[in-house]
Amino acid sequence: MNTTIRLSERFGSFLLNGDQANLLRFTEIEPKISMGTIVEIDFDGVTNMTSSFCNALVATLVAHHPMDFAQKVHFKNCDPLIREMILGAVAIGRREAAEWA
Amino acid sequence: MLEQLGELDASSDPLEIDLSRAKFWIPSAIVAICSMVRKWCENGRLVSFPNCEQCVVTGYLQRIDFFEQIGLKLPEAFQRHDPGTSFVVIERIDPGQARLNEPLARKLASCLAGTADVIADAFRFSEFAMGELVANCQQHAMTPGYVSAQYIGQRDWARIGIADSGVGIRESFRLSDSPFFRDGMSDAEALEMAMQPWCSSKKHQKGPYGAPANRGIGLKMVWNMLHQAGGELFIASGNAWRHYKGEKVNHGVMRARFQGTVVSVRFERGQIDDYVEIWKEANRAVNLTPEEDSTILFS
Repeated sequence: MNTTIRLSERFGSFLLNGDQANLLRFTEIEPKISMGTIVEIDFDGVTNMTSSFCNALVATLVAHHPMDFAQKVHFKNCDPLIREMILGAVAIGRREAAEWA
Repeated sequence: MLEQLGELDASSDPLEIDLSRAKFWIPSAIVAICSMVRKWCENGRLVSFPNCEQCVVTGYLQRIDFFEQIGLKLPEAFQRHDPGTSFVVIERIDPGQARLNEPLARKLASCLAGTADVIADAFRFSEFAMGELVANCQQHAMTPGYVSAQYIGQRDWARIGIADSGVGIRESFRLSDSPFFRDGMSDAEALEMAMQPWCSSKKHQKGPYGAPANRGIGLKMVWNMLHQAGGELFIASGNAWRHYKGEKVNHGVMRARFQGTVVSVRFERGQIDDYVEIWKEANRAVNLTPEEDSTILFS
């Protein structure tokens, strides 16, 4: 089963607040992943984000699910900049997972 | 100027600020004075600006809401008009939960980038820098801060100033129980630490959601991006300051402590022609190299 979370509907076009990202991850995304749902995070309408938002959402998810993150979470409608930001956060998550191992 | 503000802060005597010799102000200076005067006034200190009606700079300070922000109402002998992209009036940044909101971020970025096109390279560059700098102020100061922006067309200079009269960087490390803090740490050491990647004073705080919101790379990334855009960054906190320009880093210790933190940023708008490449280079500068197989994440 898949579920889609459209970020711009909740946070606007500039994703600013890392605490909001942490809240979303903790209360919605992690429970869905634990039930076997594939989560699609939709960046349609998102034009920018802070490193705090991106890392609180993406890096933490990667750090918590280092082995099967790519099977559990997908990203949609990312323009080249958003894509680079996400890839940077994935690298941070991988680094943190390696530190915790 | 920060030294003078620090010296003035050591007293509670009534204060007269003479603006008669001032002709032009940069945003960081304006917001630094604003944050200190606001603090003094809130603490009951008498602050006045004698004969300011005759000063050259007064009209400009009125236009950017300097007097309004410090609680002083002056009659305005001019018609207010839309500043366009030449400046952004001083805005107050509240600590804690009230974050930089999207309209303010857009207004600041529009001034710095010279366009309201939200996917223009200069706009996204400016918006990201504003987001990082304002978030730092909100998360660490514990008091309100102030932000302003300005564009000087003749030089193609975009400037941002952010200041607060809060706890300062060294104290933020201490109050957060940061593992980077040690007894006897100086303001200069704390400032140098804050500019290192992966050294946020709050990185170790996992909060109610089991993970930190900060990794401590935002400020370092901002500086690297500014560096690529021919820019410079000045940061001061307590009695220490650091100035980054090109490959040079100058730093020093002031004779008086400025209570709080001031950040001044300047870049050349025309130097930002490919923000994605600037971003990639900034990532490399903090040793973040995306893995090739990560592309399977996107649909």
